[in-house]
Order: sequence, then structure tokens, then C-alpha cells
Amino acid sequence: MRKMTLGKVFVYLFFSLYAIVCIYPLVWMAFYSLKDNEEIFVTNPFGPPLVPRFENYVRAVTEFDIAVFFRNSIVVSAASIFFGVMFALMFTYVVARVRNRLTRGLRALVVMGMFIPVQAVMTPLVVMVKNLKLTNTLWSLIVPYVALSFPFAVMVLYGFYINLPIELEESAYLEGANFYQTYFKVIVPQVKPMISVLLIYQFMSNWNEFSLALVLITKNALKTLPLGLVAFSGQFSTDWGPMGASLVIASFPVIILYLFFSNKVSDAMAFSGMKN
Amino acid sequence: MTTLFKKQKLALVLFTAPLLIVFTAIIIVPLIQSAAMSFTNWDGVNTPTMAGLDNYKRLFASPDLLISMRNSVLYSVVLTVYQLGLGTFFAFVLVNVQIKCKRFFKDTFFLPMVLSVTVVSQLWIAIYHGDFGLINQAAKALGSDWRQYWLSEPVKGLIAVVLTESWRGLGYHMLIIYAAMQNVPKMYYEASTIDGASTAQQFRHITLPLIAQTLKVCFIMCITFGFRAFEQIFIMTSGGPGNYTYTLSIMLYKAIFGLQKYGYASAIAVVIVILCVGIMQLIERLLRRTEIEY
Repeated sequence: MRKMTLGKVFVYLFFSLYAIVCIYPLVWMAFYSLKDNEEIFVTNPFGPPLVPRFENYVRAVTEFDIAVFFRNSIVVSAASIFFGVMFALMFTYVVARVRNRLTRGLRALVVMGMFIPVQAVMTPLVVMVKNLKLTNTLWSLIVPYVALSFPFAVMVLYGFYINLPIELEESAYLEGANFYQTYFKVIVPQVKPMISVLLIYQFMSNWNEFSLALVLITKNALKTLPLGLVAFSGQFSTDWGPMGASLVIASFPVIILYLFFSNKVSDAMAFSGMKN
Repeated sequence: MTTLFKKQKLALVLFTAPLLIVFTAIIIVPLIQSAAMSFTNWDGVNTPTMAGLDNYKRLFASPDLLISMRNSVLYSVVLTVYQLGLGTFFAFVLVNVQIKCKRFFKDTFFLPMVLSVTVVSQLWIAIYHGDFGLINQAAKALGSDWRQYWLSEPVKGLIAVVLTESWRGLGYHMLIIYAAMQNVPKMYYEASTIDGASTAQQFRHITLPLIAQTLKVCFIMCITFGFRAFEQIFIMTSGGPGNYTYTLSIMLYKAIFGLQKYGYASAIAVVIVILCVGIMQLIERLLRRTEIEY
């Protein structure tokens, strides 16, 4: 055998070990979501549940507001993805096609937003939401999420639009299509692969966002999952099973998404590293 | 090319207006407001009064500031060593070493990143739990009476939190570095293998210089993250015990919701922005010489 073998044994060992560090805590969580306290604390802390107690899930849904949080998360994510991606698509198209000093400046301004920590706009947003009496609607969260999604979306889309041949529009115009028809029928289909990357990236960031939700949402009925689950730990601190069940429920959509589209998710993440 | 769109003035405005309006209302205006509010005293209800530099003086005199800065430095260092160090190692092996199950390892290492901060924090609160947590239970199962109350102790608390943060974020940095490494032309490795270079030498002399730009971006992300760290700390320790796990962002949150001092909160926000942008510029300048063209 070659000398490499020793190195490879180390690599396999280390990789397997770290894979366990990544997976086992999640498995442990799934396990304890199906146990009662005695099993978690004393009789069987590590292994699969001896008798799966699905009533933990029933309790998480019926006794607490997890269904409401879930619905709010879906509404907020869906609405902010829809508007965020649509506005970014339209804006970046114009900026990429009509290139002059103004559009270059506007694009730079938006992309610069990537470097601004969300804390910088937090206090004024809290005041704004209060003054505009938006505390009773999910729009107080959707609109900021839309705005925060722009820098990344514009950066990624610009790189894509700029490589589309202008002949696409020229021939469409020759055939008598107007600006809007050309855009929606010719251009948007070309950008589809980028749109799916954006959808996944924005879904994951919106579904999981916490800081802004914490300062902008105060009513329990409007809380999203990440925010709602924080209050949970207090209620359930002596009752781990339902707590674990609610964590599993909250993670379910993203884990399913990841199982099916892990390549797309990887693409989306890799794009976000090209910030410079 | 622009002639194609000459007659479309209205369409061009319609297409750009929605983004510009939302971006101005949510990012640009609040940013300016933050800067302006930091020089006033305001409780959010009565009319603001000018305060000059009072908020900044108050911030720099605060005993919380020193602890926050110390915590941020500790946070940044652990994040950098863990995520950048381990992430680079994992990425390099996945790209350049012949091993099986690459896809499985890559997807698994990234898995924690898809979970929300809240889920990860709650899960690790349970893992660190003093009486029934996974770590202490494991120690007990192995016959040891070693037991730690991780989250309720000053320095251990912060380390426990930043390790959780690193655990979640490692895959993100690994994937970014992985993507950069895949862009390194394979022929460089082939040529150097013929010349008898070892894997370690290839990493040092081919990979490292060619991905320096990406590593710099990840480095900036890790370091600046320490200075605006909030979510995980807030959920896991809320800054406690006492103020031992404070960061500037925790101070900001307490200034808004605890003290109702919006001017003071804005001053903290301004300092966070200056720190983050300043550190970014500093790293850019210090590492400029490392840039290498293909």
C-alpha cells in the first residue's frame, strides 16, 4: 500500500466523527420529541424512544400556538419572496440593459446594502412601525424582508442579465412585441435557473430570520416560528417532549427542501460568497 | 444598445421604481435617521431634544462596553479558527483527495446551516443543560461525575454560545471555499504531481494563493460577525449572567426595549456600523498584497 493510506485513514476517521457531530444532535432532538421526561432524563437519554409518544406533537399543535406561528412564517416568507424577487428582477433588468452613470450608481448603492448590519436600521424601523400603526399586520415584517433581500438578488441577477445577448430583445421588437411582452415572454424564461437559486436562498433566510422579527413583532398572533419558539422554551422548560416536537415541526420544511434540493441550496450559498 | 429602450421611458421608471422606493424607505432613510438620532435624546414619544455627543459619551463610559468588545474579539477568534480553519480543511479534502461518500459528507456538514437560529439555540440549550443535557449525561454514562453548568457561567457561557454558532455556520463557509477551490484549474495539480509535490505542498503553493480572495471574504465575514453577534447570544443567555455575555447588539436591544432610549440605541448602532466597515477596510488594506491573478 502507498503512504497516502495513513492520511486517508485519518481523513475518514475525522470526517465520520464530524458527520456524527452534525447529525447526532438532530437525531437526539427527534428522539426526545417522542419521549416523556422520565425517559429523556433517566431511563433512556441517548437511544430511540422505547414507546414513541406522538401525543407530544398533538400537544405542541393543540395546546400552543405553533400552527399560528407556522402560518405566519409561510405568509411572511411567501410574500417577501414574491415581491423581493419580482422587484429585483425588474430593477436589475433595466440596470443591466441601460447602462449609464445613473444606473451604475443606483446598482452600486443597492449592492452596498450588503455590508450594512441590520442593527443600523433597527431603531428607526421600530419607530416607523409604531408611528405608521403597522403593529397589527404582517406587512411590518414583509416589507423589511423584501428590502433586505435586494442587495444579494441584484448582485446575482446583474451578473446573469449582463451575459444575455441583446439580440433577444432586438428580434422580439422586430416581431412587434412591446417592452412588457418581451420582458415577460422572452427574458424571464431565460433567467429561470437564477430565479430558483434566489427562491431557495430567500426562503431559507426569511424562514429562519429572527432579529427583525424580534423587534418589529410584539403581538403573539403575528409571531413567526423562530420568534414563537423562543417564548416556548419558557412554557415548556419542564416538559421537553412537546418542546422537541415543536422544534422538529419548525425544521421540517427546510430539512425536506434541503433533502430534495441540496445541490441548489449549495449553489445559492456559493453565490453569496462572491460578495467582492 | 440604449437606443432600443429610448422610447420606453415610462416602462423603465415603472420597472425600477418599486425596488427603489422600498429600498429607500427601509434602508436609506432609516440609516440617515440612525445617524441623526444618535445626537438626540428621544424616548420615542415626546419630541426629541438635541444632546450633542452625550449618547456617545455615555456609551464610552459604560462598563458594558469593555465586556462587549472583549466578547466580540473572543467570538471573532473562535469563529475564524473553527469555521475558516476547519472549513478550508474540509473543502480541500472534498475537492482534492480521492475519498468515498463526498456528497454525503458535504451535505451533512452543511445540514446545521439550514436550521433556524432558534431551533439550533434551543437544541443546544438542551445539549448544554446542567442536569439533563446531552454532554453531562454522556459524561455520567461514561462513569464520570464531571458536570458543567455551561450557560450560567461567565466565560464558559460565551464559549458555549460561540461553539454553537460555529457548529451551525461551518458548512456555509465550507461551501463558499469549496466553490472557489473547484475553480482552480486541475492542470496545476497534475503538473505538480508529476514534479513530485506532496498534497501538503500543493495546498500551500497552489490552492492557498489561488483562493486567497475568497478566504479574505470569509475572514471578513467571521470577524465582523463577532462585532454584531446577537441572535444566538440573545436566545441562549440574553447577555447574562449579569452582563458577562453582552455584545454591542445586546446593548442596542436593551437600549430600545429596556431603557426606551432611542438616541442612545442609535449611537450604539452607529458604532457597530463604523466598527464593521472599519474592520472590513482594515482587512482589505492589510491583505491587499496577497491578491494573485490566474
